[in-house]
Amino acid sequence: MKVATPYDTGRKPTWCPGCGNFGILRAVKQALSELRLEPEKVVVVTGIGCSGRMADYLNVHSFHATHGRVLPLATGIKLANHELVVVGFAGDGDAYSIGVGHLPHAARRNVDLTYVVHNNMVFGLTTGQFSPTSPRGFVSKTSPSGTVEEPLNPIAFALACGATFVARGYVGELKHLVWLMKEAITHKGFALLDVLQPCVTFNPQFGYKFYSERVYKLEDEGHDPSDFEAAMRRALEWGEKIPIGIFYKVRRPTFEEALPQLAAGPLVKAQLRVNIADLIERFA
Amino acid sequence: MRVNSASILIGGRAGDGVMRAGRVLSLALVRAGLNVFAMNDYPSLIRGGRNFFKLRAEEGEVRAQRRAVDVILALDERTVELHAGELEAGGAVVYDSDKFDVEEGTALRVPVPMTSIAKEAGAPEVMRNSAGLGAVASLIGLDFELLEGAIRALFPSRWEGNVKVAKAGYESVADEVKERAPVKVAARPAPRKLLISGNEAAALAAIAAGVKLFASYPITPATPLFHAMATLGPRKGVVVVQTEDEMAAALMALGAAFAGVRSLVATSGPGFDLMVETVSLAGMVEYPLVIIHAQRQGPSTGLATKTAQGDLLFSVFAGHGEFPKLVVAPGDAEEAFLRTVEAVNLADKYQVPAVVLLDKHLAESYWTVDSLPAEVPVDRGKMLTEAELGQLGGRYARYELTDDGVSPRAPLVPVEGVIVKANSSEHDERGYTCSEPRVVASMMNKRFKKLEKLAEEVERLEPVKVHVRAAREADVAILCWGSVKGAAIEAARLLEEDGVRASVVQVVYMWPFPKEGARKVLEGASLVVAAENNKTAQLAKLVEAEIGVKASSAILRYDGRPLDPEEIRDGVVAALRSD
Repeated sequence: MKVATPYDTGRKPTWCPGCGNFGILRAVKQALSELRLEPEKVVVVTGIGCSGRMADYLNVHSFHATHGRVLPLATGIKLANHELVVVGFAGDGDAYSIGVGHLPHAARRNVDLTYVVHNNMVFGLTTGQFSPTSPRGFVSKTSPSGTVEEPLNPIAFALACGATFVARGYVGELKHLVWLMKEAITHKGFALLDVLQPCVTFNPQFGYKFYSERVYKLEDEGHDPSDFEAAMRRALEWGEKIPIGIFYKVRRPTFEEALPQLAAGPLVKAQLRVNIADLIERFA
Repeated sequence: MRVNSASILIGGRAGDGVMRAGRVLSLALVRAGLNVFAMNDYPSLIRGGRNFFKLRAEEGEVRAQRRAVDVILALDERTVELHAGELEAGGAVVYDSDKFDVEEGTALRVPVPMTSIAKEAGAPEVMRNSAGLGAVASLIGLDFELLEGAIRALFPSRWEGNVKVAKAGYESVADEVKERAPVKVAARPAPRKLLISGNEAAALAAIAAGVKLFASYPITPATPLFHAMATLGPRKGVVVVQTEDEMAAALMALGAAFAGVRSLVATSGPGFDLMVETVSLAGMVEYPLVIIHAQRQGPSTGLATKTAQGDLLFSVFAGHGEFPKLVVAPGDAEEAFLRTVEAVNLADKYQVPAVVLLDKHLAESYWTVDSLPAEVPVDRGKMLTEAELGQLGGRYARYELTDDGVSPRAPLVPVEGVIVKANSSEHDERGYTCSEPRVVASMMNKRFKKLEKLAEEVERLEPVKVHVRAAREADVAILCWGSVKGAAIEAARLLEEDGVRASVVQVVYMWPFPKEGARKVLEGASLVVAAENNKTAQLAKLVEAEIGVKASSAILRYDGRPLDPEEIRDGVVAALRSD
């Protein structure tokens, strides 16, 4: 019997049975619950694609945005009220293809938000094209002869962009994923959580069997997440062994902490009556 | 010799301090009690090329430049070559005699050893522009104290060297030269006025209107607005962000609006292109997105530093899909302030994207304004208070269907039970994705109901202005918009001298198009001539489409330069002849 949580909307997901998104959705609800975050304090920003529908299934504030545009929109929301918990959800196409240009800057700014990427190495909702994380030679509807591009390494990329929290999860390790989400959300700064998930309909070869045989936890191998170079080395591992866990975690001032205009409180509560007599004087 | 009526041009290469010199002289003349209009022109480079700053000072109202010039301050030889043809008979050329010489001719030559003056004063060479200013001030009889005051105001950290050099330049002009000056200034008592550009006025307006997040990407000619915001905004609690690109700027602003914070972005054509997707998004999610679009010559990179009015129709119809938006086009700096405040309020109230159209000429020219309001009305429409939200709790629905199409809005200050969902996909009243045909139709109708209500409010705002005289009392109505307003009104004055009674019809609100306001103003117009800084007479097209009034001809300039009053006058005379 399913017990309703405060984060349930009662809407039935439109995802295919067996979709990795179900696991991510469950993990988010569990993480928010364990963190005791009231729904009214949380905002999720979703991109376009199957993962974009997350907004309909989470009873929190939400903004279902345009393709690739989760990060700047989420940044605007965070700047407007930095006391809100802001979490972005985007697919690998949304985050690493059309939206990749925003990633270095969100990382550099170190805005305190969490970016969960549903990485299934394919464009699902548009019915099966390759994505920037698909391996070279990937056969799809737009690459019938196999892709001739190297895949992007999101972990190494995020590290190089200066992200202060970089992690990878896997929907087949749900408890671990819940833990990673909690860590990412509570991390003060920009947190990227790349989540490996099968797309059972358009990318079955990279399914549960493929991942379960390869993933290992960084924590089990004594990885030190404060060591950047070690993180980079682990980031380059992909093949017979695929590391999941926290690659890198460091505390640096966030974008919001560096803005004196936010010291008095959230912008949304600022006094709207402004007197500009002193500014006008400058033009006399 | 004319008193208190002068047209002065300062020219040089980029890096010679032409613009600063122009602003100093303009400010000094305003403080002498005159009204000043000033424009500038520069190429897309950092050093070299040819810059000029042209100001016009009058006792009465002055709204535009004059073609002819009374005094040229030439910091390089090219300036003389390029502009000698504009010099009035008996006009003066004040020039840096250390760098070049000016041949004897009809002009009054005023050689000033600007470079050596600067050197002797121990100042860097760039300050020779102040020696030139001093000489011009002396020539036209402008009190040195006024010049010094202006230098101190505009060079707060470097005024001493500049004042010293200016003084030396001032004292270098011989009496017999001053006696032959073509124009003179007689300082007069006048209330303290402001000298301000369109960009600066728009920035002040945004701050006054309670904008708390300004996000932009540098782009000519909107950059000075960005700079003004970056300097002045934080003093009033405004967060100013330079984003990675224009898409991010529009999105950050929209995100802030979703959370309940007033926001604004400023850009030009190429940047506006990148924001268009977000305009459509704003239309669908029903949040305000106010974009100051300072047009420049296109298409594409076009002429980054030159003016045009080529994006009117693009702005009106921007964004795929059908949704309401507001488009307004101020006609000068004062209007840039007032209309930006209105746009911020209207966008908030009707929850729509809004475009405030400027152009390079309007954004970067300077007008003399009596005053600007230190506080402005703030109208957030149906923004619910925490108490009201507390009452609603879980019943709150972001897209509640209402009589006027505007749904109550909730700022994201956590209130128990209140969940706010914005959705770029079509949605139901609560913001959940929905494709049921009846819901889709009702949401489309809801959004267009807002346009209807917005149109009613716009009609009450004097959306189409008439200047000089009513159209029905005129021989010709000059139909214009934006920065052409000033040149059109000056043209009407020139036409008066030729016995032609002209009316100037300035359309301010472009969308929703004010049909009533336009019809009322154009009623009884015997002849309508459009004057626009574009090739395709876009306003004339819009007016014809919306109310069926046709311009019989159009005076169009699309070479990147603003229409001169003389051009409009000549165009009107030609139109009357062929009529």
